[in-house]
Amino acid sequence: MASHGVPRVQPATDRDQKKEQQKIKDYKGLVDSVNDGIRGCQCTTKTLELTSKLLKWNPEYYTIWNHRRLILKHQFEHPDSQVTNAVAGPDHETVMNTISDELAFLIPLLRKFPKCYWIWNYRLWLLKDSTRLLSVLEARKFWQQELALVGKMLSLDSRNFHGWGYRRTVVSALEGIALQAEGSVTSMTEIEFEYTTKMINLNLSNFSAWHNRSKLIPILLDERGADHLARRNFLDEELELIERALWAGSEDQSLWFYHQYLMCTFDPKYAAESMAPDLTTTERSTYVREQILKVRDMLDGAEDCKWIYQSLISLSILYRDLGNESIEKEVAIEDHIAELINLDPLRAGRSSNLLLDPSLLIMTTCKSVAVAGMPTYLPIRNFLLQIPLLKTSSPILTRLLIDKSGLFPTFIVVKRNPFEAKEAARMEFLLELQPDGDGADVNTEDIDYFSTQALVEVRGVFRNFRFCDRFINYVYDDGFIHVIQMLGRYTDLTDGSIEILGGQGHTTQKAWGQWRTGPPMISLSSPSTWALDLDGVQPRLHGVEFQRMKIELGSREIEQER
Amino acid sequence: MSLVSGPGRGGASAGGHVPDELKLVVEKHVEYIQSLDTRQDELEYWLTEHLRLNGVYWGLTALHLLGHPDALSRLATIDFILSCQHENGGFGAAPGHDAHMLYTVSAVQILGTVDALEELDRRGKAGTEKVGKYIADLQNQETGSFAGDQWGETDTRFLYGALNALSLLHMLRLVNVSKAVTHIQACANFDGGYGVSPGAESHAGQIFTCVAALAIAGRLDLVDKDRLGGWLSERQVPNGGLNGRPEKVEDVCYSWWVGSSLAMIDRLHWINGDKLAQFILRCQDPDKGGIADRPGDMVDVFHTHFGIAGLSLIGFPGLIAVDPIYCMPREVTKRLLGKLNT
Repeated sequence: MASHGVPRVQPATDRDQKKEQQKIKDYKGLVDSVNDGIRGCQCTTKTLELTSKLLKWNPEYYTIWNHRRLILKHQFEHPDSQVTNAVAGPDHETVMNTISDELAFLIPLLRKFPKCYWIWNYRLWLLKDSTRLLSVLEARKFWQQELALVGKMLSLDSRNFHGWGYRRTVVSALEGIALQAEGSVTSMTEIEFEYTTKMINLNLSNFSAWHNRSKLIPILLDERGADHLARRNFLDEELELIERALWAGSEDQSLWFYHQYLMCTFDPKYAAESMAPDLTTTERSTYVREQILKVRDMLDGAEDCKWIYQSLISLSILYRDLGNESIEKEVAIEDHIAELINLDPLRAGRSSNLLLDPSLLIMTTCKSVAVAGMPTYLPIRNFLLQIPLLKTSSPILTRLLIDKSGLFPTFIVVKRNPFEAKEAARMEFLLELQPDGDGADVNTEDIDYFSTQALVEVRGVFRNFRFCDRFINYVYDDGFIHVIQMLGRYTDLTDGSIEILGGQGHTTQKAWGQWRTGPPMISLSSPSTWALDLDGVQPRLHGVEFQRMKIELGSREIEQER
Repeated sequence: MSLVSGPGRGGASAGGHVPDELKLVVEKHVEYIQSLDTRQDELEYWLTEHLRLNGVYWGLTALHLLGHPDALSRLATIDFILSCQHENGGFGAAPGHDAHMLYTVSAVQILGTVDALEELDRRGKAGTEKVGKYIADLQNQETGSFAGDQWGETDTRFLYGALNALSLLHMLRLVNVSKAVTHIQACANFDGGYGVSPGAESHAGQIFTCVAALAIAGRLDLVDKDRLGGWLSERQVPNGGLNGRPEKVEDVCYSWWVGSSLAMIDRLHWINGDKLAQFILRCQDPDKGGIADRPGDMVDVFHTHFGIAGLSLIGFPGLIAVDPIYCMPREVTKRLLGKLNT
């Protein structure tokens, strides 16, 4: 494989150069002799030894492992060849010894190159051959030894991907019918489950071990024939284990992922395959409520731990989806999301998506830009908008009601603003469409917000939009045009159909005017970054006729095509 | 194409100081890739022969994404690829190396990129039908999975490779796609991710192969997008780079495995693209070209390719758009797939 983590080397001197050339000569000579041996069908001890030498030098040379297999195959099928001393016929002892020698040959290689796929593959091939060629007892002995070996390797590198995968393969072979003494079937689930406990106790941050645990539990409970009560007890023990672990390491993502796994038990979407599929909705709600309270307690002294907020958000959503009122009215999910965005800016795009209807386009960050020529009132229709306003004493999330026929939108206040920046002089409001609103419920208090609208910037959601190219794309909606740079996947317009695949980008133009008559005019202002999520948008677009706009960046000219 | 690492080192000239505005040194990268095959006086050139054909794919694709599609000789590229073919249709890593799924897929991708797939029928050791058959025969009829070669190693990488190459050849009919999809579902984990095989831990590289295979099969509806997107977004570490599993170290190549997976499930905005771009740019050798896995390490063509592909994915200015499913220029896959598959 390529050079992972290779530090820089010193420049070569003349002497090094000479050495290097000699090495190249030796290496190429060795490769040639091995290949000659194979081409000449010389499946001999000598060729085998040459492959050993070459593979010790370069275990990534997969063709040479194949050569080695061919030699062994030949040896097993023709035991009278010069490789072995056997006289005639398949000889268990010869096969045993050969496989044993081969496995031993690989140990130092695995130690030196633990991430080399080809060595592991070759080893498995040998073991499978042992199953094929030897008696159950003989083969089983080899596979048993492997379990010890892989245990040793995992104690040296407890996250080795190949190691864990190899362990599962060995276990499944040992459990497999081919390695069973007559009539008996050995399940190793209990032992393997204990092994994950052991590995977790050694190091809580071992996601590999937690993962394996998640795979073993359903099998374990089935094998135990666990009833509802036994499953609940088991679940309670797992919850206790993860809670203790989380108290010790609330920043450890391995633990939170396992916690998420346990929470699947209470989520109707996942429960069927969980360890306790038959919990009632009431039981689930009780568990989730308990979890919310416990996780919230973890905030004490760890107020800046984003994982806690993340967990609280998903638990609160789950609790709500199970048909419950929020536990605490004063702490809205949105507040946790706002805190999460604050603590974890790298994933702000994801957190923002938690806030809003995923079927809408959402911008996630915003730079407030004062735009000259802004119309007094915005003909906003069918949008979710996040707009920056001058800070007032009322930190409120605002719901926007639209007079569908008219041009004079009004707002009503519905929720606290989740985007409030603590120190900022201004704040941002999330305005949400109320699609069936008719403007009747006007809250006069909110008219005040209109007075600041010179700073209004549409950042949000568009229903009518189309993308014309990778970099310049347009959103046209009821008088608003946004020119968007798509960074993700984009549409294919070749056959006139529209395929919108989502992505992220930024808006480079966002002011508008003359929306009442004729096509909108664009004026340029500084870019802002946004992201969008187009899930569910696509179906709505089919059958919609779009007006095709062509906008020349910089020249402010607009062409209209049909 | 040599897989020799170096000579440069990521961030070599930065001297510990990283300027705020990092540039992509396009010309240097082009020169770096062009120089790779001239390094036969280095032992590593010979030690990495088993990756030669992959190396051509990485170098060539990077050049295309950089907007320099003609920087390597088209004819020499085709000649080399054909020289790696076996009579059974499969390709090895280099002449004399055994046929394997990995190299067969790269060969199809390369020939497709340089618009030379018809050369298979014209002067290959085996024609297009045989190439398709070589790949298709590696499917396990029972499980739907694919082996890498006759020796039977099974991995979701090979399943993806098979669907990738066969779709480019318009020969998906040769395999049981729905069984392959069932196998991928069997590799799914509670965290939304996928592993090498059923039961295996989620890994960003395998997630790419499984999600891309589902995309080719037209079954992205099977992906638990929010859960997977969440897991993938947690791969981004504070310096902007991405890792492949929880608590592992970041590496430029995961810019691709993680980024493309997020793009395919429409959640690329769940990570910070600007910070990722800064990380990749810090792994460049601004003097000699090439990109390393991490700042300070030796550059190589593998990381150069995946770094550039990652930048293209997040819309880095000046790069040709990459197809997140195929890791080839979007315009190439469009041409090859035609309307039927888009």
